[in-house]
Amino acid sequence: MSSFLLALQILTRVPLPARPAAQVGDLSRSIMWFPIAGATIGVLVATVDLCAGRIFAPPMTGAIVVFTLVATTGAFHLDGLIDTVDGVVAGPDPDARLAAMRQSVAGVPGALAGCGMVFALYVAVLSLPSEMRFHALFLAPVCARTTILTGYRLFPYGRTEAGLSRALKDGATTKRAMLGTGLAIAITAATAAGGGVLLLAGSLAGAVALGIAACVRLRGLTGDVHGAICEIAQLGVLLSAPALLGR
Amino acid sequence: MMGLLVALQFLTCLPIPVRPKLNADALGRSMRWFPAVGALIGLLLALVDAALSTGLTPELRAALLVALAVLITGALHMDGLMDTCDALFAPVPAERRLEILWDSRVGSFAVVGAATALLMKYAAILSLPDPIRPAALVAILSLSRWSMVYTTVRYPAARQVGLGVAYKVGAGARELVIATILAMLLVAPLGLAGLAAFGLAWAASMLLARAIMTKIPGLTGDTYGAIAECIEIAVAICIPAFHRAFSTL
Repeated sequence: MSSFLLALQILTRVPLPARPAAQVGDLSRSIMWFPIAGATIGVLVATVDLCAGRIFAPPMTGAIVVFTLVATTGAFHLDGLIDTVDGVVAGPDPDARLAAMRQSVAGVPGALAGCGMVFALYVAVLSLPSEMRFHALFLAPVCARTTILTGYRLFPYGRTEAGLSRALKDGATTKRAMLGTGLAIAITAATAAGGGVLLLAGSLAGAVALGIAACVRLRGLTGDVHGAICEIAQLGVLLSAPALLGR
Repeated sequence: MMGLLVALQFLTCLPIPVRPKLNADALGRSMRWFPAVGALIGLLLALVDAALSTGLTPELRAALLVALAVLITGALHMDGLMDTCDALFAPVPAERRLEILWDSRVGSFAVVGAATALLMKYAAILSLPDPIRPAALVAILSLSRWSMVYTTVRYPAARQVGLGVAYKVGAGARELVIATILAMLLVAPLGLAGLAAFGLAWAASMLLARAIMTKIPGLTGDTYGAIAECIEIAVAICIPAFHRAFSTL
């Protein structure tokens, strides 16, 4: 239970009761619960959509949903996307690119990616047909957070220093990755049967492709890159949900 | 009346014929006119909106109004919002937050804040029902500028120098009272919905100022701008709902 709460603490800004400082081992263990933390975010976002839809016009509801997606995570993964885009386009070699990702100042490519992502999320949410909105908004964060778990398991870590990402990388054992992914499969199957599992499979396949591309440029993945892939997977699920769900 | 020109000069990029002399006292006193300047911007937007209503789709009109509002204000408040987002949300130790606030460079959180705020404004303006659009635009912009007066007078300043402090020093209870009366008059065309919008602006300004002050020791010019942007969005989102609720009473 405590490593699940820790996963929530890492991935969201949901206020949780103060707890003693986490040990590195606890951080490592929490990665198995990322899909469930995604499900928690999903329930929140889908419920906000349901409630806002009763009060506001559809364009406003869509914007409120995007705001909720961004705000619950404190723009954690969007920050990763912006830093990653700034990084991969910079420098002649992986070291220079990894250093560019560390810059807290946003470059033009990163800023464009950030704006583009917010805009694309809005359009994707607006385009969700009403009969599958709840399922799609619930599944998108689940699939996206599962890509973080499998990404840490499959790809080498790009930096050498200790930190949250190092702890998560060490925690992403084969056993935890399989258990976590199994949980995600169970959730997606229970929510939307074959269509749900297809969305998850598509997210994971897309995440692997992006991970390989990032490895070529960066020598390994960092927390920022996992965040970027998570954001892209989330958008991908929302965009493909109308085609894959409700068949 | 000179105060109105001072406020116009600061809050907008509109061409002002006379250049009033500025000092902290004049700046502070000009705050009583902030809601009026907001109303003027709202009126301008409403005129453009009406002029384009037959030629453009509602979506295009909403997007144009958002862009126009940013242009008229010279992105003054948006800049404040962006700097504030970087300072409050970046994962850094507390003592670095003020430093980031004064840093003119843009970080990830500023980008996300600006993109999300523009999106919310677009959606909110798009969702304003036709019959109340002019009155709503005036109310939204007036209350947003009022929130700057309220938070400036009511809460401590974080730094000893800067434009924000000039306002803080020059403005007092008198400015707040006059600005509040003005704001109430300017939302009156919306009736009870206007009153509810004023209540929302007040409560939200208070909550926002307190939330900011849990992270930095006081408010600055940038945070006043950020509060103005948030109030603009919150009021714009809720006015249609208030309007519906009170017109069925």
